[in-house]
Amino acid sequence: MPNNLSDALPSQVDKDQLKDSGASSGERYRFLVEHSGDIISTHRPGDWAYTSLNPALEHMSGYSEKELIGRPAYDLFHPEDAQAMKNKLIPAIYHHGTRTFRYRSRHKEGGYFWMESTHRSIRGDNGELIEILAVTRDISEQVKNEELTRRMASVVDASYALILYCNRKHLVSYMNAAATEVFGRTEFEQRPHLKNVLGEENYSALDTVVFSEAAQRGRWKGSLRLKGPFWGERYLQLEEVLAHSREDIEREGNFYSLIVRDLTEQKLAEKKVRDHQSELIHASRLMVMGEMASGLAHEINQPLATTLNYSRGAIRKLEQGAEFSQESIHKVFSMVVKQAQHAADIVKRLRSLVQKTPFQRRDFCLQATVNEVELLLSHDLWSQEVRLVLDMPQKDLIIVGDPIQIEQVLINLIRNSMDAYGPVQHRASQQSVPKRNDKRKVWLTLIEKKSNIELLVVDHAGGVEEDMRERLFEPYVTSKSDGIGMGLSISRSIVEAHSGQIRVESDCEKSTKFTILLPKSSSKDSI
Amino acid sequence: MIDQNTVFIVDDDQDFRDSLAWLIEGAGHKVVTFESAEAFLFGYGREPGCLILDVRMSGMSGLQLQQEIIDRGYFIPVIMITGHGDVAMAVQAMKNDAVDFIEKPFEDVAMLELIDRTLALNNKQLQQQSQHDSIMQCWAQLSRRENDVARLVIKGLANREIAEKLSISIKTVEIHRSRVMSKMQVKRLAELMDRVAVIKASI
Repeated sequence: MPNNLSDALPSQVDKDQLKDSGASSGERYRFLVEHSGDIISTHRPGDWAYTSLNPALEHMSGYSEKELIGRPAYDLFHPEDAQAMKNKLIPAIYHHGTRTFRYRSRHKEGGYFWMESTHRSIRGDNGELIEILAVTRDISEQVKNEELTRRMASVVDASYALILYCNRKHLVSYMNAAATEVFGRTEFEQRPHLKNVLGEENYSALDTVVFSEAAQRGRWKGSLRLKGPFWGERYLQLEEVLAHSREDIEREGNFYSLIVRDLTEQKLAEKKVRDHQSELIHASRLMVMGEMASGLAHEINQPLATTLNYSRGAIRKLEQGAEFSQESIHKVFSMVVKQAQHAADIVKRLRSLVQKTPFQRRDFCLQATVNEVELLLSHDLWSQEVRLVLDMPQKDLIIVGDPIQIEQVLINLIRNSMDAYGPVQHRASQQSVPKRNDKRKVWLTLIEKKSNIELLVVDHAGGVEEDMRERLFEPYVTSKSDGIGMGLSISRSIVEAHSGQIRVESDCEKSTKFTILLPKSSSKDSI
Repeated sequence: MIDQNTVFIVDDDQDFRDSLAWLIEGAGHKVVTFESAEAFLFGYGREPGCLILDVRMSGMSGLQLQQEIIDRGYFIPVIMITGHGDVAMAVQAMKNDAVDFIEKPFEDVAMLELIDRTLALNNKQLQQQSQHDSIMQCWAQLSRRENDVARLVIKGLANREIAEKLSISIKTVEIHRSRVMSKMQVKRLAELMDRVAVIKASI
């Protein structure tokens, strides 16, 4: 082994000993030197010129023995390294005898490669320096690897991802800067247990699922939310765990590499977008409610008027000294209660529309939503003389999401259709028995498909031109003189937030059809 | 007098209809309710009274029923009620001689007074109508000549002037005139003038 050869040489080799040793021993050395993969050379003190060298150097540097003998060793060095050698190394060797150092050496054909030399001084009896013996190796590969490792380490350290190394016993040996910032600085000599770094709950989730899979398959990939409270509101997610298969690494301890991402910023940004969207949805809902206000007022007025009739009538009778039977008192009060309840129900329904609530995700029945919408629109439908024709299957159709938002979409679509029919012509004095206009109809149909529910809103109010149709869902695009063009744009956002699709078709002269596809709830069918 | 009048209520909201019926019955009126305009047209037999009509109904609306009542020549005053004020509808209703157009909810006393007023007015109109009818009957019995003479008498012409105008003798005028007085069942000229005033628009 070349390593051992240089090690085997004593630091001070006696000149005579070298000369006078047995021929067999001398030959053996020469053979070893000639065939060594390491460069073995001797140098003249002072200018460090080559006095002898083995073929390994010729091989490595491209220069022949002839070209090298008599030339100072540092002639081939990178200027910086040559400077260092002259200034520091040579005096050190004079003084200490042995030195190992690294330097860049020039190849005959250009470019430098990394070498490592161990220089030993050979001194005479009086301690004067006779010559210098150098054993040199090409360490380009090694330096490259070291550099790569260093670079990798600095990348790991600088990574935004939180990276932790731990051994098979889950003792943490390394955390990068990002991880340290979140999990806190730890003394790695003490090898803290992962349990103490991540917290009991997160650790047990990792221990049961993640580590076993990583150990078995070499890696685990997924998304596991690491819950606080150690790191406050931060949203941390474990995304990958790598298990190393190399024995040595296992021994050294970096068996698992944990890659955790801090998604706090991302989640905040997503939330901001969501908030903005729900803000818009809410604002548009309020606007529609404003337009519907007079109809809704009528809905509340009706039970109020009824309540007042009973109550005032009863008071008036009491004031006139009338006597009530048990039965009639009961009737009055139960009617008052019924009507007040009716009014309260309407108010509740309105409040749920007006309220600003975060996006809900729950199972709900589409038919119930459609019925709500019909109630809310009943007055407008009446006053605009539009008939809403419902066609829904008996079986409850369940989807997941926010029922109020879906209500909003339906209200938008139905009101668009109603508006498309234009204002009602008053014909009260024209015909003897005027019939309500049977042509003003809006059809709302629910169809159960394999994995979706199809919801159709159709009218025969004249259709939509093709170029308009393409832009209909863009904000601020409207065909109404007093519209601001947010209804359909918001409807589409809502439908898409429910993982659905919305599209419009029209024959351009008579009918317009809006189709909404909403995925069925994946929870099992309701009864 | 109240007893022979009926308050008809047409409203498609059953709870409201019942409450209004309860209120009006409590004030001593006879009440008949209908759930739709069509049901009223089918069930109404020209009984005297008044009609409380909701503008907003499914099927035929209140305004359309009001028009139909006019077209059919029914004589019944209409009180329109509505859930919310709609000027266009109110104008239309009043043009068609609605007694009033009131918004729900309303004061019971105001409503009952309105009903009383409407019924009283209706009775008076009915009386006038029957008076008018009987006078018209008398008037119809006049011969052509008597009719001519009567019209000139009402204009205040003296017998001589009438004779001149109709180119008949004063004597003949006097005979016609006395027949007119007896057929119109009056004794004095002032009475005749009063009776004719009632039917003035119709002759």
